Amino acid sequence: MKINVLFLLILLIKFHVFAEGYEWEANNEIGFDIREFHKEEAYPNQKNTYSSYLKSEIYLEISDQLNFISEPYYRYDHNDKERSLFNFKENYLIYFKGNSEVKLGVAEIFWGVTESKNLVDIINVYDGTDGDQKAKLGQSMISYSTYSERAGIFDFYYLPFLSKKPQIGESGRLRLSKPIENYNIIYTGGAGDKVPSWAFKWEKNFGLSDFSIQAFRGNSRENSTTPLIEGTTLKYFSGYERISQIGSYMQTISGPYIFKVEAIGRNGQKNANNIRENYYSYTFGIEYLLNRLLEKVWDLSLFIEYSNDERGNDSNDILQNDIFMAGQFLFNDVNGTELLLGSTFDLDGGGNTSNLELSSRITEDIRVTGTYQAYWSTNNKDPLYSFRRDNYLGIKAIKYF
Amino acid sequence: MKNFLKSIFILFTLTEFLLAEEGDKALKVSTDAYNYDKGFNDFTSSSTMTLRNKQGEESVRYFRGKTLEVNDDGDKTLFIFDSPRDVKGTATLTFTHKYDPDDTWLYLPALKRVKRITSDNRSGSFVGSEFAYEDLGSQELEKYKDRKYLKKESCPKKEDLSCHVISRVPTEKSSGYKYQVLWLDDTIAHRIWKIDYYDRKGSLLKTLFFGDYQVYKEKHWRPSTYKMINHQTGKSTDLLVENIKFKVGLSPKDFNRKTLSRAR
Repeated sequence: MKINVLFLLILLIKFHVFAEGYEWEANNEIGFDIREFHKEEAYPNQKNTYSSYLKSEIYLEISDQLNFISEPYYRYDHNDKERSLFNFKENYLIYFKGNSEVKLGVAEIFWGVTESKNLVDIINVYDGTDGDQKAKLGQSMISYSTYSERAGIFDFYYLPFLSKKPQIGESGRLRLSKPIENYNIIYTGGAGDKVPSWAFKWEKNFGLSDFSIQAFRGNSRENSTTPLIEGTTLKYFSGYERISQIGSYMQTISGPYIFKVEAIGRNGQKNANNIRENYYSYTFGIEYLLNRLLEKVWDLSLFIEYSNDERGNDSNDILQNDIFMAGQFLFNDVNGTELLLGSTFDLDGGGNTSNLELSSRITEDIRVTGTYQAYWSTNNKDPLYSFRRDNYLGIKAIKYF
Repeated sequence: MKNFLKSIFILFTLTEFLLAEEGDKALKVSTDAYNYDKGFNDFTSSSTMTLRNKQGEESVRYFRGKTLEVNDDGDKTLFIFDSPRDVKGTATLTFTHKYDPDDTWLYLPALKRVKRITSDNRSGSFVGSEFAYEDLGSQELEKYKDRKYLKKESCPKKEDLSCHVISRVPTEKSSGYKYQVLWLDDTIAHRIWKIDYYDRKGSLLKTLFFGDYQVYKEKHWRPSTYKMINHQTGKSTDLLVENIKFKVGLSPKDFNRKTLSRAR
């Protein structure tokens, strides 16, 4: 993994030489992430998390209509080597003319409107090891987008390869009773890491409402987990299936309220019992903004969402019949202080989660975030049960340079 | 008795007439100012904001703006934030509307997400400064009502000019203000020199001074410096606007959700 850092440095130095004479910019950040798990581990060899990362964002304007963007990322985990990762989150050429754009390379795409999760968001694989639930891996693609005020935005994607989801290793917390091995990946239904996927999205804005429909055909972005005996030991292996998905989202604004819904129908993904099935899933909710709270410059956003997955307890989604509630408090001070409090409640009694996050700048270019994450009332039939002893206190510091 | 009632009636009508005339006069000055600036088409600028607390400690923010004039509706505005570093790359796109609430989208670079936000955000603080989004947005005529002509006096910090003093009430419920008092000079451009902002309880909240006016394309006047003072907290924000360029050739295709996500 040290080679990766060296590679990154060479890349940066080379870039500086190459970029002379062009309009360019490089923004870097280095982060330190510590998570102290105060309860004794549930499974052998699990340790605290001490990790650091380095991320660059390089922007090069080749011409008025052609840009190059690269975002190399390297993470080193002191205890869990499986969590160490080098990835190009982005590395693409973008050409735009008039109302159209073409992207070629590795990119990150976001789809969706809700906060607790984004069912429709299917282009990239989520980095399940990051700790930040919204972190993703870069996805190689050729994409074409076109916009018109009348017809909305049309996006077409050809995704030639699958990036496999990184998995927590034996020394890491927040994993199943056994780590998921990174070899012997099981592909089903014609899936494969070199099998291309296709996606399409249409989005249109009608005054204070937005509406979108998407379609996807290709490799599942979430892995299934298969227990198999290897020799005499039981091990967990990951698998990917060929799936089809139709998705839609809508949102509408009314004064301080935003009403949101995301829904998908998916065919061919394995459920928690390793059976491929067709199912529906949806999330809907409300975001409410309380501005200038108590006649101060404070803003409070409140969120409530409900998620349901047709597969019920056979679902591998933790939010299969859950309510999510959260409040985000912005102090609007010079240091950009934010307080976030969120919880999920499983209506089937599978288990609940709570999260408290306080974040502020301590200098113009250092932001520090303190987190407390809790898993409570977990039921041994729920996937959350394996996290029952994984409550933690986390500190993250990011320096921008 | 009859005469008394009659005189009361006349008095009322007269007052009403005078009040209406005051309103008309105030509206005329505002409309003239708005119409004079029409035809600017588009402009771009770079801004430096200096936030100052009661103790005089300073913090600096950089951002850039692009504005497109829309003839039959409100203007379109794009802001791109360059500092502090943790929000660098964040951008906002606003379609101002004359009568309806504005459309606003926020680009969050860490998530590559374009998020729709409620227009109620307009009364919120702009990057922690004493400016609210609504103070910096496009000032459409229809966004205010109940204009009153208060008096004429020499312009604040610009004694050689005389100013019309006008009050106006924001039409939108989401505004952070009960009313505002403006000082506009009596030249053909009716440049604004000062605005007093009254909070929703009606007490003086902030004062904004405009300075160093420059003329662009021989017609459009824009201030280079703004000074916002919050009377209730003792904080202040200075805004320095530089590199103002008019008619750079922006068009609607530079102002949509796709261009927001690649704004630089």
